[in-house]
Amino acid sequence: MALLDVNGGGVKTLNSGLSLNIDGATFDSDDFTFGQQTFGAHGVFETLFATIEFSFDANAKITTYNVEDGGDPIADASGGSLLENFEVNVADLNKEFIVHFDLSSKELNKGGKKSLLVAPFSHDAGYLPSDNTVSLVPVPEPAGLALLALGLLGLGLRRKI
Amino acid sequence: MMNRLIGVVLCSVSMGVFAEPVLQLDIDGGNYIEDGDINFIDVLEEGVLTRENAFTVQAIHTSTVVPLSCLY
Repeated sequence: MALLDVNGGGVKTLNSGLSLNIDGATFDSDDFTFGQQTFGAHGVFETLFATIEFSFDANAKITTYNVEDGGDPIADASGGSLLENFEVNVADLNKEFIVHFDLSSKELNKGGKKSLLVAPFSHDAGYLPSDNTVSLVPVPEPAGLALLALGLLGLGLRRKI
Repeated sequence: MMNRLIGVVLCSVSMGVFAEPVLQLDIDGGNYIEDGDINFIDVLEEGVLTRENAFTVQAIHTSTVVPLSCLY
């Protein structure tokens, strides 16, 4: 969970108090540290962030769906996905902040190799505690940048030929 | 036509690279507005983002491959 300013920029220091509530626990200034997350480069960092560790409940199964298609998670005992809900309340959060959420696993056993699993950055989420409309500059995604590099490489090769 | 073919190939390669169990985040079952990398949880009403104080962040782990949109 990262704090951003209303322009989508990183927050290094706090000029005022900070308070938000997740699942009944209050997070304040002392719970946030400035820097880069551990799961790799992401455009919203460096900024103040806090980490919540949790384990998925193997019984909390839902039907697999793509969050970008919308819709509610559907409980399904034979579903292919697991769901963990976090009840967030930002009533006491200073309106100068956007709260941004990312999700990553500590490690994943993939074919005998340990690796880090991260939610694609198009599937993270943020909250803008303001009544104002704000235009944010989209942050390039690593995979998107890779595709751009591929395209430029192809263009370069075409010119050589 | 050639451009479309290249796009399909690149998209397929990307999907191949990312075709694995994934983590996703959702807010109130999709009740948000997406703007690039930042998703607003607020409801858009006549062009104004309406503040909501309480919402649910849903962390989702897909143990099977989900047909994600080709966004990459």
